[in-house]
Amino acid sequence: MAEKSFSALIELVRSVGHRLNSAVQRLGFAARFFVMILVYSGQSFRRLHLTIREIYFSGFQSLLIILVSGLFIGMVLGMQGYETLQRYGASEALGVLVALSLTRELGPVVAALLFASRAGSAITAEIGLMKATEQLTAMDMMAVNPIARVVAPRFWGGVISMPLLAALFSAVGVFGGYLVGVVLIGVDEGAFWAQMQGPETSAMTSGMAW
Amino acid sequence: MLREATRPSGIIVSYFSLRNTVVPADSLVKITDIYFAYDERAILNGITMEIPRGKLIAIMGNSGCGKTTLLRLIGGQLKPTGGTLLVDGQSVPDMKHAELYAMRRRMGMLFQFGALFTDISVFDNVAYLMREHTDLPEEMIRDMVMMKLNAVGLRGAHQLMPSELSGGMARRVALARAIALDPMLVMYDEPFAGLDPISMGVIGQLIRKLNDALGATTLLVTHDVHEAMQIVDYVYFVSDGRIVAQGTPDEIRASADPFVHQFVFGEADGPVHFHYPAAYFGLDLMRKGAHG
Repeated sequence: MAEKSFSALIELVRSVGHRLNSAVQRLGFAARFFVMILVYSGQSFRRLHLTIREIYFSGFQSLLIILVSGLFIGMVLGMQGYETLQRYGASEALGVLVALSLTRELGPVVAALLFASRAGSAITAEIGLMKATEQLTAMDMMAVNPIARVVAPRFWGGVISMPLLAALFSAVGVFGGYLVGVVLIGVDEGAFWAQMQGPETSAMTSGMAW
Repeated sequence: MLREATRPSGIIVSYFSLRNTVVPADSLVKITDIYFAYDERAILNGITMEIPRGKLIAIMGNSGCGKTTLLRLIGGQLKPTGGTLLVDGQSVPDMKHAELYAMRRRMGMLFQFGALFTDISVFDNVAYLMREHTDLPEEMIRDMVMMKLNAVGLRGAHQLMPSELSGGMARRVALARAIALDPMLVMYDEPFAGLDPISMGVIGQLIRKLNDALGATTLLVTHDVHEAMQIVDYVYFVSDGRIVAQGTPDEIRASADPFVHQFVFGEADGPVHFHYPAAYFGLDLMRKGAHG
């Protein structure tokens, strides 16, 4: 009996060790891959058209979903924000509420999630297909580094497009808040825009930086 | 006469006799007693062969015998676990990344199913290497691409996308891409797989003609005996990671070696057994409860 429980314990330790080991291995692989992308990034900038093409595919082609989602999230914020603020007679602060919550929190996060699901999955499918049909091996055999030629331009295309998309998301969101708050409900337009320029919104850029 | 080499020592004997008779001393690829294993599974068990300049050499063998692995070793994508491998006098396993890429620029490889880049046109596929590795003006690249496409008979298809090509055409485009920069060594991995007899004949003749026209050296990995025998200069048979027979096509046809005979005539049973190793059949039939 004791022997049985001892072997079960060994099995437990072994499986935990195995999981930990493979997790560290995956982490190491990802880190190494990332470093490789940085090391082989030269070509993405020397031959800028490679990166620009990726900005078009992952950035520009994500615009529609980003703008539509931004607009609706801004409209919801305007609507719900007004409901709460007007109870305390502070409905003029609607502009600040919408702008801050979008630029600081929602904008970058939701835009990033949308970008990952739209552009990220497209890139994954594209590279997966290239791998499965031996295109990457063929490239490597032709003395063309697949990381430099395929992966790095897509990485930098994403790095460049993402902040722009987040900014556009927030801008369109604020406009959505304006549509609901000012145009539909009738909050004072001057207060809506003017309060947005107050000192507390100087931290607006912090969300963008993140 | 056909030289046989079923054991490592036999290979070495045949290697020396080969050097003195058929193959000139100047070889582009020189493989000596090479071993390779994926984890624990041995794939190549001491292969020795030479690929002389200007010749068309075929490596044949049944599926999974290590033919493709051999090509990957020559291309430097895999490293052998033992033995030496020289391409143009340089040891491939010892090459650094930059040296390896410099060598690969002088190699062309045709993959089993072409491996064309699916998002660019036929023209751009052939122009790919020229644009990546040279600073030639676009007009000159255009002329060169048209010449390569003309050589494979597909000049008229240069605007098509790879998805619009038939299997045989895709293989010819891949062929044009493989010879884009006039390589010294061209390697073909199963160029006949999945093709109809006409396309197969076309590809076979192209391989021979391009080899002679370019003055290149060609290594052909295939299991299509009849097609390959019509075009190659010399054949190596590989089985279980060893060279079991070698010779010119005429020697192979006249061979009495049981393996070669089985392979050339496609016999179901012979040195390569039909049955996976198993206990005596009767025992399985007599087993209690076998009929539920």
